[in-house]
Amino acid sequence: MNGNIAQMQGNILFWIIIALFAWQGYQRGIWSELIKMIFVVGGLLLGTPAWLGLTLVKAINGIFLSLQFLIHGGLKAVITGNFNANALSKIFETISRIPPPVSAQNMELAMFLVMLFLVIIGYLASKFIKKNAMPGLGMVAGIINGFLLSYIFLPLLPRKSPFTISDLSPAGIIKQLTALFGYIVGSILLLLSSTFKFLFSLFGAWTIPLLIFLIIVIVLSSLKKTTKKSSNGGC
Amino acid sequence: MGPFEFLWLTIFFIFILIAFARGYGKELGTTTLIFVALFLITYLAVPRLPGLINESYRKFFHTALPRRQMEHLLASGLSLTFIAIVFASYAGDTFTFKGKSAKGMQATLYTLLVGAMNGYLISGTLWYFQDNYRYPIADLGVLQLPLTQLGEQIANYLPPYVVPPAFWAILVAIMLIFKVRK
Repeated sequence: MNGNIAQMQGNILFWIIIALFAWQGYQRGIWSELIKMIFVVGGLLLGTPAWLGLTLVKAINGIFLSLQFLIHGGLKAVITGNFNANALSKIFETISRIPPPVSAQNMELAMFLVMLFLVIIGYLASKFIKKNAMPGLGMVAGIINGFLLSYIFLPLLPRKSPFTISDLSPAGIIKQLTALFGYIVGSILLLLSSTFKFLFSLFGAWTIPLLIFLIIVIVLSSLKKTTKKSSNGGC
Repeated sequence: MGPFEFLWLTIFFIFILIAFARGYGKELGTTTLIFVALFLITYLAVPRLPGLINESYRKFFHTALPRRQMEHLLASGLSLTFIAIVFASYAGDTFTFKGKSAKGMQATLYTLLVGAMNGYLISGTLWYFQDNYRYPIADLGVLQLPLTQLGEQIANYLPPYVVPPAFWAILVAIMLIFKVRK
């Protein structure tokens, strides 16, 4: 019985998401939805280990190791043309001791964060398209985006629903709402702490200074210049 | 009183609420003054003040100031100075960033980010004054030591511990460049 209710809730949630995306697609037009779709598909490809996820992780680790090679004497060897076997083996010995930025433990988290980042970028990029062209096609593209995002995010929801709709008494509803609120806050905190841990594994002690720097640059850049109105009144 | 981190979290959330009440354009002015205060405190006050106080005390009383008294003096003096600077940044004619702010969800997100940053900087710095001087507030019975495990963890990430002093000056310079540009 509980399983049926949880499944029904999942289905309702799915169709609500599809309806919302269809409405948004209709409102914003085809171009805006297509841009979003490109980023969502990109995120899906890079966030799935079987598709491009593992390649992405290998690329990140490879670029990091190449940088470490250059930092630890490789650049000097390239510039001077002195590819002494001893010097090179020392460099490789040093960089082999440096752990890769994306380890096996945080590989899935890294892929998920890249996917989330691309989805957010896609959403922000689509906002630059102001013209609402071909709303009908926009609605279709919106539905496809809804399907894609449901495919990405719905499996992340817990199998056991954090709230049930079986008890509809006032006390039951309050209890369910409290459980839902606790679940949402807990999920946000988990996402934030996982992201912070991942960033800390990449940047170490510089994580917080870099975050502060990024926040102020992004927020300050968003303040647009105010245009002053002419005070002569056209006389 | 409950664990110290509850007090820290309360102050943190209060500053997020203040940010929503004022808008992020105004809050950035406060952020600038916090950066200035943090630079002065971490670059000048924390390393030099104990020596200066000791020297002056020795001149007048011909004896050294007991360590615990020095810690009480520094923790309360620096906390009050910092609170005064933060208060000044909110009171009267404030230092604000003029310009048209973003709208809708974007504005909410930016306000949340700036509010959270100000909350972290203010509550974190006040905590730092206690942590750096071995919790003088505990002597007054306001706080029960030791800290909880979560408290110990948070205490490792307090702003003056994780941001080098010169970096505050760089942040102030960036803020001023944007202020002039707008």
